[in-house]
Amino acid sequence: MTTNNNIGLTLYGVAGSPATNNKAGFEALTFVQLKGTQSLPVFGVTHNNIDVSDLGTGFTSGVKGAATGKDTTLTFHGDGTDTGIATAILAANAQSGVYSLKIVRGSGTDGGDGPAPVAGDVVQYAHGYLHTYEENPKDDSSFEGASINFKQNAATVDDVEPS
Amino acid sequence: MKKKNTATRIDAPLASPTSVAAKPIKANLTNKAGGFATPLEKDIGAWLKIGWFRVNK
Repeated sequence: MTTNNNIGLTLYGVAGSPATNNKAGFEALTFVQLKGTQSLPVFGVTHNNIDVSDLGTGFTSGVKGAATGKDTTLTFHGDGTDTGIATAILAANAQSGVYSLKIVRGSGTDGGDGPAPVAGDVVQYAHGYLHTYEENPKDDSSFEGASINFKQNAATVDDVEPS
Repeated sequence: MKKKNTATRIDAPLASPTSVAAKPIKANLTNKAGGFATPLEKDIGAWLKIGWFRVNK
């Protein structure tokens, strides 16, 4: 087993969701890189617990309930004019905000925005909606940038970059 | 006068329809938010139902 750091992970997005939450669905989408990311959303789901009490035993046991997608944050530096970031800001401020994200551990050429994805690289997909666009504080110890939240609305799809 | 033979030459072997892999047909789609997608044509129905529409690319 190898444990890598997270340096080199890149984020891609598209304003829309796939017709099917699987590899074919996400691979059909045209993703654009969100450049200047500092922390990426964490994909995943959590499950509710349903308590089931029993008077005879006096013990309340749990059964697994419905899943719900995580709501996590992505942060970036810059003025928000990067094409990918601009689509994300637009979605975060739009009424529906439907958006799909792709996290890539690329191994290709780094053109200045992280290693490019090449066929066979590990990727993760998730779709949901973007919300809560919040710019960094306007003070003398902060840099230009912002954060956006991503609410996942279906299970994560693990894949590799298609050829 | 000898009649000219206009029949198609058949000495060259004809390519079998199965000898070349068929390239899957894809559709070009967009949505109101400006996203783009290129699903397989056979899957197009599910995409159109959720708000994607065809575009000439």
